[in-house]
Amino acid sequence: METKTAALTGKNRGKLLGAAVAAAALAAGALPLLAGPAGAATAASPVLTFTGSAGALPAGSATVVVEAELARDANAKGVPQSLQDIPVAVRTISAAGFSVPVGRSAVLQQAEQQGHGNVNFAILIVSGTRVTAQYVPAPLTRAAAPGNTAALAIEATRVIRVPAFPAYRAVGAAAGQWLAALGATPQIVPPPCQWTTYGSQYQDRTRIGEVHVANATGVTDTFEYRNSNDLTISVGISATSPDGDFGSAGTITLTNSLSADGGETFGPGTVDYVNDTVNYQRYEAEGISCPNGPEKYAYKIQAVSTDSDVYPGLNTPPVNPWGGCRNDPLHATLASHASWALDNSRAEFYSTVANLFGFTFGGSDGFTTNVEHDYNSTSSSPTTYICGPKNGLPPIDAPVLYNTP
Amino acid sequence: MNRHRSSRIIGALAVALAAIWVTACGSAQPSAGPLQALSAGGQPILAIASVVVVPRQAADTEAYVSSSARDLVRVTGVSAVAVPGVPAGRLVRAGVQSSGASVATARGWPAVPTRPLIGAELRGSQFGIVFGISGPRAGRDYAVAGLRIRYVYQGQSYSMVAWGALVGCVTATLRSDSPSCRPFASKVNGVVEKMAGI
Repeated sequence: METKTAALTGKNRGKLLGAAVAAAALAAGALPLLAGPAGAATAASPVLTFTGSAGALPAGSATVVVEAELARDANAKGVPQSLQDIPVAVRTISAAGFSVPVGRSAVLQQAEQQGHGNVNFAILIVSGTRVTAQYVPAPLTRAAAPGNTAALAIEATRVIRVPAFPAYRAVGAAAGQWLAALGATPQIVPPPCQWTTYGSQYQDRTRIGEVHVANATGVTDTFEYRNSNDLTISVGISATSPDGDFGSAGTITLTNSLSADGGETFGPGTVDYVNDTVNYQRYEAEGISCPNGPEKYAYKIQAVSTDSDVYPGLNTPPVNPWGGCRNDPLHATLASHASWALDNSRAEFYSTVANLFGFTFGGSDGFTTNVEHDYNSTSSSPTTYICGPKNGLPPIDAPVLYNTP
Repeated sequence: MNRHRSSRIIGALAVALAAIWVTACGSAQPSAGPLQALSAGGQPILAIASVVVVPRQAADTEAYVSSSARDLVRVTGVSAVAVPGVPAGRLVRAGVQSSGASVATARGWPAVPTRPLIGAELRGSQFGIVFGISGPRAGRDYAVAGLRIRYVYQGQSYSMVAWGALVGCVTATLRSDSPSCRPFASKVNGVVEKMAGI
């Protein structure tokens, strides 16, 4: 794999501003090409590295731009009125595989603070006049790693394997000139992609978990959802319309920084999904480092904050695959007049957690420090049993907990 | 003057290095052995169990250990990890879960099949350690944060903490209410989360 790495320094930017390709590109359009991130650093000691496949490159080579997302001007509901996707690494590739190291920078540090350790990255791949993009969240501190398997791998290796990208889209001819300039001169750091709100925020009930309580006297499960929980949820991008046509473009991790805790106690016999109110917002953007280039608006819809108000969901989750938990050889006993609270384990991924503007969000609750199952029994309860799915995991380590007499 | 100051600094450094040396090498229990608390996303997985029991009856739960050992690990000792500011229960039993069935909460012993922990030779990637604590007085609640397990691996001694918060709420009879139990357990949970670094 042949690559050229951008050295994101002011010195290089200064030099390359005068480069013929950039000058020609600047003369051809009205947009400022360069506004490199103030805090960008070299990738000499990467904080993390993105690897993956850009698929068949339409122009035989491509430029990969990694951008860190910063939220600006949050309103009272915690909904940012703008989002800036700021380039933090650029690399050209001449084959499908890529590996882009991201160095420590002021931008990254700011994004890390905003996300309580989680940073949402946008990865843009430009090949000739065709573009593809997706969002990829990354836990940059141990405390931020959501309890899902992807995050576990990231935490351990500092390498993020990027999922397959959506199909490349063509952008206009003028946009193509800009993108070609970017590809030809990868040392040029493109300006941030500035997303601004489109329309109002929407609240939607969003699935964050499920509870299964034995149909036995006095047994309950309290699902608690506390401050700074992490919800990883898909992002929709549309190249044509803000009212539909959103396609899945990766995921972001939403860290709930509202100082609110939620909780709901579910009684005997409950088999229910658990929902939370999540606020969603549509945004629009145009620019050289945006998914639709500088000529035409791109639109995206994403989760931006949660109310942490836990309540029963609408549908019923699948029943216990074991029938009764005692059929699971790894079951755990829950005595009468006792309680057992599990507050840091793995996450279950749901393919449908919410639906807005024709876009189906998939997601995975953090199920980390701040999500807790608290099983309780009274003195008149019988002994019941707790088990996990048929995945060979004991209850302490299972993403879904079942409970039967 | 400068030379004297340099000498003093060098002397202080030597004392500090000696202290570090004694701390690191004088102990037979370096912390980075192959056994670790079970974790997800770099954080220990933590459960808290609380059980209403009568005086001297064991309240039981389970702590989990993951292992990266390629050879046998032999357990040489175990003790309860106290929760600061909270009466510590007496560790009455600890055993390696031996049938797969585990314990969220139980009272009495044995709750599930186990084999003795001390002297156990462990081979595998994950173990459940069932343990119980008791307290002598009705109306008093006891707790521990987990177990400190000492073991030998490839001739070297180590110790590690298996987090597993356990509260025993002692009442006169099992039918008695224990109104203090829930707030006590909540307090213990908060402290143990901090102890475990989550």
